[in-house]
Amino acid sequence: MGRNISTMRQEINAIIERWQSFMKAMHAEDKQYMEKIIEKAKRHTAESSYSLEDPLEAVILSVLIEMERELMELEKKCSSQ
Amino acid sequence: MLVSVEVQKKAHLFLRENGRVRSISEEYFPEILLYDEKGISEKVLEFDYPGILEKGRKKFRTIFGEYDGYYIKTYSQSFFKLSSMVERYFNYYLVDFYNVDIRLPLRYISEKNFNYYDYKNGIPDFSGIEIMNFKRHTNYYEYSGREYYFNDYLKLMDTVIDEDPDIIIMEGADSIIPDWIYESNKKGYDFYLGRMPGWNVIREKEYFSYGYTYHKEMTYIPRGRSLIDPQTSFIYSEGGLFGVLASSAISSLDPSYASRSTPGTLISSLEVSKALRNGLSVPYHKSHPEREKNIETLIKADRGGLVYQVRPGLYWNVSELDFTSMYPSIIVKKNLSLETVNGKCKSYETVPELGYNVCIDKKGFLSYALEDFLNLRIGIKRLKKNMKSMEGVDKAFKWMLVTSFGYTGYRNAKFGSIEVHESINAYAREFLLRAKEIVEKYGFNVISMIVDSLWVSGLVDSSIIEEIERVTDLPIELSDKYYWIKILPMKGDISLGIPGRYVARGMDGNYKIRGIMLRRHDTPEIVKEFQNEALEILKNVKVPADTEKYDIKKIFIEYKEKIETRDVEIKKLLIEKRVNRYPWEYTSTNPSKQVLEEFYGKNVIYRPSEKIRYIIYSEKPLKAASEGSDVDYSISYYLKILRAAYDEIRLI
Repeated sequence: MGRNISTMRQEINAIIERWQSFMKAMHAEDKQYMEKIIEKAKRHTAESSYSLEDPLEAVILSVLIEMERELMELEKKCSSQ
Repeated sequence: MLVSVEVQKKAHLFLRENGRVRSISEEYFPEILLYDEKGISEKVLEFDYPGILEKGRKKFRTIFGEYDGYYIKTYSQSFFKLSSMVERYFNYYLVDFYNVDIRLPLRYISEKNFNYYDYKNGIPDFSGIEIMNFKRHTNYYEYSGREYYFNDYLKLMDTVIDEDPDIIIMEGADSIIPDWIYESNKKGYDFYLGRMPGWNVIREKEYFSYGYTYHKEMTYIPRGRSLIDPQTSFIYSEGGLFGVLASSAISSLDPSYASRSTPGTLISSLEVSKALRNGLSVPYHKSHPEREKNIETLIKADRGGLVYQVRPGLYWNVSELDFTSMYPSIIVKKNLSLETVNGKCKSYETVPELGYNVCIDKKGFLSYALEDFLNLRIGIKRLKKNMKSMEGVDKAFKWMLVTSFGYTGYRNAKFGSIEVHESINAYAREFLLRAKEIVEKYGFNVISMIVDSLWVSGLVDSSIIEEIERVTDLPIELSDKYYWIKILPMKGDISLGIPGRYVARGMDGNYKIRGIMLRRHDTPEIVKEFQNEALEILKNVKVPADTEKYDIKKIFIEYKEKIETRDVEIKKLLIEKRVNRYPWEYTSTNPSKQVLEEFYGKNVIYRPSEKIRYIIYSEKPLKAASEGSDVDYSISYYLKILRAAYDEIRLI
């Protein structure tokens, strides 16, 4: 059925596509970081669809959350060693 | 008990009383109603056309209140012709018309407050209805041991008229009856199956839905009784005879029409009939365009139900909670209707997220119309556990209720608007999140949420269910418990799960399976066989410790060896695909194209939507040959598929 506006998922995919073309122009050794960021950007689409309006806010928040998670997991590992 | 109605020159009612059928004829003069704010409709007094009996001023009620408008009284036969003449006279849009696009039998029985069938203890009672069920064979119909060959339709007609049933069930009737009528006309016979000579006709129609164009042939309906063709009836195929009769009872449509209608037509007929029965006139094109809204509200409002991002993995002891008929319940409980959402009144409730105001000091019509129906369905859902006959009724009602929500967003919906549609969604998201909060408060983890159901890790008890019901004021049930659920990852990205791909082992002994290879049409039989056999073993797994004991690796190796030693029948390796292009339209050389070209070389053209079957004989490059070709299958390709099938269902 017809929708008035594109969905959050479509908007986020558009941003990721943009980021992927950005990645093409990057130095080969830096690409791995960008790849990880793109992966992190997609993690919280469902929650964003529910509450956020700006897809850019959604992807950046998603990356931040996933980084925080990694950070905490690393801290846990270090303190247990 | 009313069994059939038709309105031609007169209204004919067929009633079954004490086992006998009685027919009543009555004059019926339907009215066209007009109203506009500027007083243009006054000009109708100057309008003249054959078929007008009376015209003048008239006060009539609509869901928005009373209007001081005009009416034209006509003969029932000239009604539709005349209404389109009046529309043209007013240039279609200057004036609002009421009650002009309602099927006359529906309108007649609603205005006179007749009902199809009776209700006993609040549920429809179908005892006493006479049914003739013709069993179809290749070239004859069978009824109570007698055979009626397709060319001997006069014998069939005699039997029908002798038995005088209220309902005929005849598979393929819609395609064979036109031929019978054509031939009997040519030979000069008077062929009919009704209680009066002649036929009623449903005109042919073409319509467009979800990207496909559909065509419905002209259909002949006997007069004074109903004819159901299982081949053309969605409701019959879902809910059987009782499903058709119950939807007929609830929508006030003749069973012939009810059986050929979509659930959407049934639910809108129910609404129209409810309005007429309450003395409310029904608008033709409602003049209620989408309200202006700013971009933020638009973005917030144009969202569907809430879907949670699931994480792939294996979960133990899972409870599934489902809101019962969530969307219709919201319409009823939150008083949503065309005239109450952003309507004029004294006290309001505000829709979450969107800020729309919903009147609460008067009952909304849509909410009123669905309330009894919803309660009836909840009652029947409870009954069907002990009463087999109610299963079909429940299924038919379920479809109607599902449609009742979507229909509110349709531009021609009589009693809904896009704002109603958006409000339902907004409430649904709100309530699903409240349920999630309650579940989490008690220390459970929510694995997945989709629109009206939640999967919770752990076994939820009834006190939590009661709390959710108290807070949301909506009925929710603990519908299933599972020993384990395996949620599969998305194909492109293995770290994301999707709600539509899982294997769940129910505590009731059944599996609930979605989206694995077993369920796909293009999976070779051998792989399906493997998954079925393996799942049978996995049925024994109830706690994590069982996984070692009931490992399916053995079965996997068995099948792997079968494939490696070519110990598999060719027909079990066939891959079935529905073609969606002509061979020359493909841009990549995939198996479908290869097979189509192979056929094309033999002057056989497969059209899009037809099915082909092929076998893969080389993996790199991928090469396919049609069914029956003399090739050796590619071991590596089929091992790859088997491996993927194994990965889908393995627990360790």
